[in-house]
Amino acid sequence: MALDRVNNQLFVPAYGNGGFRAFQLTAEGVPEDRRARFITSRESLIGRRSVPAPSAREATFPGAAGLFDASTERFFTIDRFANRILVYDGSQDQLRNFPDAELVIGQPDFSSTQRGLGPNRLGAVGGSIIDEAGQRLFVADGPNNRVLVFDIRPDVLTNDPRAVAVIGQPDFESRDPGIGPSGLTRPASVAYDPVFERLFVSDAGNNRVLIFDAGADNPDALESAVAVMGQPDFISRAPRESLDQLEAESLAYDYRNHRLFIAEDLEHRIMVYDAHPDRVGGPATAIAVIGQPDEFSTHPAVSQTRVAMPRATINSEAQKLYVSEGYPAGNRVVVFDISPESLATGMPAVDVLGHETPDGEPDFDNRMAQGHLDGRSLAAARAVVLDPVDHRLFVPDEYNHRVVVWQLDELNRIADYDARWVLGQPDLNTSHMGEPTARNMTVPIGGAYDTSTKRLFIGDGYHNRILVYDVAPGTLQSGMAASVVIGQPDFESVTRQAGRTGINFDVRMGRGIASDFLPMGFAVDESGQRLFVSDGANNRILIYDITRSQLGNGAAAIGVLGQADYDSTSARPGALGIDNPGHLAYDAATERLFAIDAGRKIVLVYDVDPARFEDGQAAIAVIGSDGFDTPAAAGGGPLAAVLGTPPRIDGSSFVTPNGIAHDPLRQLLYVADGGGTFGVPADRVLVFDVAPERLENGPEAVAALGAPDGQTAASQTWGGAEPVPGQFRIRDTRGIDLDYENGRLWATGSFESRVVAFNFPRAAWNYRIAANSTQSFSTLDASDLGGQSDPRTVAALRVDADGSRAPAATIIYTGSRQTVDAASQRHSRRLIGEAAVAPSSPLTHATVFVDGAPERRHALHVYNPENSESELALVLRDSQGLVTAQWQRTVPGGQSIAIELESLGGAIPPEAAVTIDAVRPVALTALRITTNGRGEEMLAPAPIAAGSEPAERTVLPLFVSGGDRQSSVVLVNPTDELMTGRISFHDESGTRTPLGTESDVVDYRVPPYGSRVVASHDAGPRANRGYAVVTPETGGTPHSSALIERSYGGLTASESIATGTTADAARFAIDLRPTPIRHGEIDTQLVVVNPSADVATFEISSGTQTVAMSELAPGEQTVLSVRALDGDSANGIYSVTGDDALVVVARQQTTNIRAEQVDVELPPLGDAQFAPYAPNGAGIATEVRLANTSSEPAAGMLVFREVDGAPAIGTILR
Amino acid sequence: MPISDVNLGQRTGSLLRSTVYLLHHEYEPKLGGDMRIAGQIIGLTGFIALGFNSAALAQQQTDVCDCTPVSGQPAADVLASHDRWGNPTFIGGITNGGPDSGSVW
Repeated sequence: MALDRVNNQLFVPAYGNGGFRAFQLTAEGVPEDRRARFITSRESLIGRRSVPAPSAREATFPGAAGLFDASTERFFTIDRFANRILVYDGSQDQLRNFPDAELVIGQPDFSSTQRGLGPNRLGAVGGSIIDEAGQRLFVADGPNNRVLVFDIRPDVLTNDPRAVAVIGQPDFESRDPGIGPSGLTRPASVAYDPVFERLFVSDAGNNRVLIFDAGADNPDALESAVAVMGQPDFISRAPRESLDQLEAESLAYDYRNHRLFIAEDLEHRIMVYDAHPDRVGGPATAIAVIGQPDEFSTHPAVSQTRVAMPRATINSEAQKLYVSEGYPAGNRVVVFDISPESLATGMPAVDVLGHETPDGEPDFDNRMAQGHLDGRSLAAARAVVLDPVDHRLFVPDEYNHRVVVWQLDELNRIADYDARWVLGQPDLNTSHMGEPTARNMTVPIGGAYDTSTKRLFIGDGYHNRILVYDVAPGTLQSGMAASVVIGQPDFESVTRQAGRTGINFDVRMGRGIASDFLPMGFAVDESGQRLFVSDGANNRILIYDITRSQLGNGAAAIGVLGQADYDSTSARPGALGIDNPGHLAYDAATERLFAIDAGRKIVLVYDVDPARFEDGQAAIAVIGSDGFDTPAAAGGGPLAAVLGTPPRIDGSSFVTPNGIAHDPLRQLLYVADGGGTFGVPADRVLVFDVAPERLENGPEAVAALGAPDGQTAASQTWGGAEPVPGQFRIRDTRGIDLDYENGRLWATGSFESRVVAFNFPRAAWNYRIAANSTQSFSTLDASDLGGQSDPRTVAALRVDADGSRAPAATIIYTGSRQTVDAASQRHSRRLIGEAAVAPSSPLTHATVFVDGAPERRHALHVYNPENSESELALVLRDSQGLVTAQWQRTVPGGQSIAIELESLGGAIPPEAAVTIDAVRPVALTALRITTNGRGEEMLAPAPIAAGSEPAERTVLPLFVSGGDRQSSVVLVNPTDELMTGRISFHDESGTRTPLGTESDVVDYRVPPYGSRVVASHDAGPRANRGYAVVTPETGGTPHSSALIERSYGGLTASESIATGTTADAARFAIDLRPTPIRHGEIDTQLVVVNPSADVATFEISSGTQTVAMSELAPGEQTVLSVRALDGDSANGIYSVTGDDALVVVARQQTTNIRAEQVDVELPPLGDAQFAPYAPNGAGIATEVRLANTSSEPAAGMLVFREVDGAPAIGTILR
Repeated sequence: MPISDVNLGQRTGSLLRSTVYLLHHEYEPKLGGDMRIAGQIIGLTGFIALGFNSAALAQQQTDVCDCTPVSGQPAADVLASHDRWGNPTFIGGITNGGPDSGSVW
């Protein structure tokens, strides 16, 4: 935070997006308004967690902190990750407009992030403070064991300035840790007393606070401290023995009453010390504790009297203390009155920024930022646990202190993007942080599931315990209590211990919080009923007997790995030891345990066969290193990875291994490895062959997920239009889980708060559909905006039933374009157009209507399902049925071909038909491809007539003219007889009206194999909606369809064909839920026409449930919205049943993100099995919407073939 | 060999494909009879080589897919990530509420 005393406002770093929020204060130092006045630095107003490349504009995540120099009105931002301090013009007009910094300290330019030594480089930017009167900036440089002093007078300060003095070292090139009055060891923070001109240095490594006389006119005084706090003398450095003693952490100084405030991050409190020159020195006793009820309580909680992981800023004039809490805690700034008459241990806060009640009052208990606390958001996903039997996904959401539970579908795919349950909190919209109970948790970052007993094991990080939940379907409820606790004797205890019953995850800042590793892990041996637990800080893996009858609170471990006994806790070297164990995976096939060794950045492999197991036994293999003698990596925490030599990026070693999963069938091991968030360009999941007979130490990965391969470095940027992130690349992946039966890896993306599913490619995809239900599959059209994307591929599809009746299917082609929302840096898909077709049955004769135009093409996709080749004869005839061109094609057995008519030579007449005769039956899909004025290609099905339809008449239930739509009646005569008759147009009540055409009754005469089009031309603003009736007089009934075109501003936005079906067969597969491809508000309108002379009744049902019943007057048309009838998540089989005369069409209407409406007619469900055209990539995806209309479950496969008949093994479906 | 050159799908595909043959009905009835027989043999060998000792695990194989991961493949779906209109998207997620918000996330 930075206090701007000029404008009386508080700058609060928005850690989520690198910017600062400016809150106006009153003269009393409390918020005048709890809404920020403006935001600065991050131009994206609501974007979260993007890491920009270093620039002059803003600090990189997440190290934003600030200082305000009121005397010169300059704003200094501490950019820890870029090892620099940015200096801005701090005037209001400037800061509001996202200015570039004017100067940079610690780097040669605005794009560098060097660490170093010397007068102008830093090992790290630690706590800093400004002496306004003396115009000096003091910067703690912990890694170099010193404090640098910069002259910041405006007329002196330049880019990349050299420090004018150094504290704690004899010169700028020395960096040895020291003690005594002149030595420092890892100083963390500084504070300045402008009244007595004293500098306080938090000498964390020596467990003391040094006090220097720091008058600007006496620079030599900085060479030696004049007093010490927290130690009896200058040579003592022992850590405190009791919680009521001083610990050197983050400092803030109240110069009005001369008190030093120390924010103890791990103890979740602010200690207040008398620091008047007359009374300071030696062991110190706090005069008050803020944020805890007494000097011995240290539990983090978010309330009016408690704080968690605090940082402190003081407003001396107003006698207010501002305590900021970041994402693990309260996401708030709590305001305390620290005037001497108010200051008291455990005192309540007087106000809070960040959370308001609905009445506008301060809300001290809420802790999630922005109300983004629901069933479709995560703060940080650190683990993912699959229940493959009852199809649920458990995701520990670290900073929301909960486990979010999604229901999956029969194939363990995402069934609903909204979670259904939550553990650890009472509901999905609550996130409290408090004392431990059986119903809550703080910092959960690991878990495992036992399918055999339907129990969930969750690692409750801060409470050092494992919560065991009985979550059988029907039992699982939000907010339920855990049944058993392991690692603690009861649900109220939180002690950190070793022994057989103790656990010490030691989760804290830098260890599981804002760190690059997870100090816990779990795996279940279901048949042996053993639970393996990584006990991080005890450097061991414990084994528990989880047999129901044996497992009770505080259960004792029955085995240990990594230590020779249950009381040792130091990491042992070599194969016998494990250094900070993390997530675990168990191989049920060979009884091996795979363990992340976060300290050495390796995976250890243990033989845990009970017949051979001995406590403390050695690992049998290592992955990530050639041998067991790998030295521990330097430190932990967010800065550890970037302090040392940049690690290798290759397929045989890890940067920061976190998640792990095992495939017992294929003997593959998956290891999530990431460092991108912490400055090391590696983010991937490496896949290893770990078959026992082939596994040797230091194997090379056989594949990499989330990266092109094991060597390619990840980008340092994320979000926006940068060419890397999103669907092909992962970032900060921690926990993973594998659904090896369905070929799917679930991978957390902690930094961007998501969970992604990698479905492994295959040519044949299982489906499993409950009775009277639908199940959708879709190709991905994968794309990372500006980066990698799926190229266009085409396959043919067959629906194979597994003994049972084949489900009906609807094939939907979706054209979309990826876009980015500049304000939020989130990506969207702009829906361009959609076409839906029914699968094709093999046929030997068909007639397709075509209409040549410069912007239009026609494609016939033909699949030959037989072994023998099929000869095709194609004849193009104009509207009069006269032959204008003929072609021959051959479709080899099992293969498919695409015939684009426009490329065959010869012009396509504006109204024409092409007949196809096949020697052997083939499946056919015919498409119109229209390019609109934006250069976008829109697909629509071309009307296909497979033969004469000897009906009395044909009703086209939807014909619209005016507004943004025009319609045409298209008649095709597929026979060798002349067809004549008339077309009548009717409005919604059945009254005859032209509907924008030449007349309300239009006679037609269609020669053999000819065609006829009757189009509307009404350009009025009002849409005239009705229907058309085609009544034959001579010959059969022509194949009739209505072509409806929608345009915006002269640009064609969609084309669709409405043919209609009678009520006895009006069943449709409907799904109104957005997908990663279909973005927008989706509805399906059911248009029902009663062309008879009698009142007709009908019923709309979903599956076996009746949704609506209605009746129609003679001649009446009605339009019913499924969204209005059944909600915005409606999906399933919708039927319209009623009197036989009724005619129905279902039109899926999606209002895309540009508020344009994209229409597509859903064909009625039929029994055909073949889709000759299943494209993917370059802006098109294919959805296969299966519908099981029977009362029995259906199972089978979707089989994809390349055009040459080979299995399309690269097919990936969602 | 750089691992990008390893086609894992080809390496294990035959074994896994044959697994599906064994466990499902013949889903390619009109193609490649010889290939099918060969696949069955390879698949059976594969099962023997893997030597499962868990009855529960064997039971779970009935619907195992014929698939393995491929380097650089895209993700298929995403949870907890949505655009400003609530559509699922791979770059989405929580936002910060704008300048007039009270959040200090």
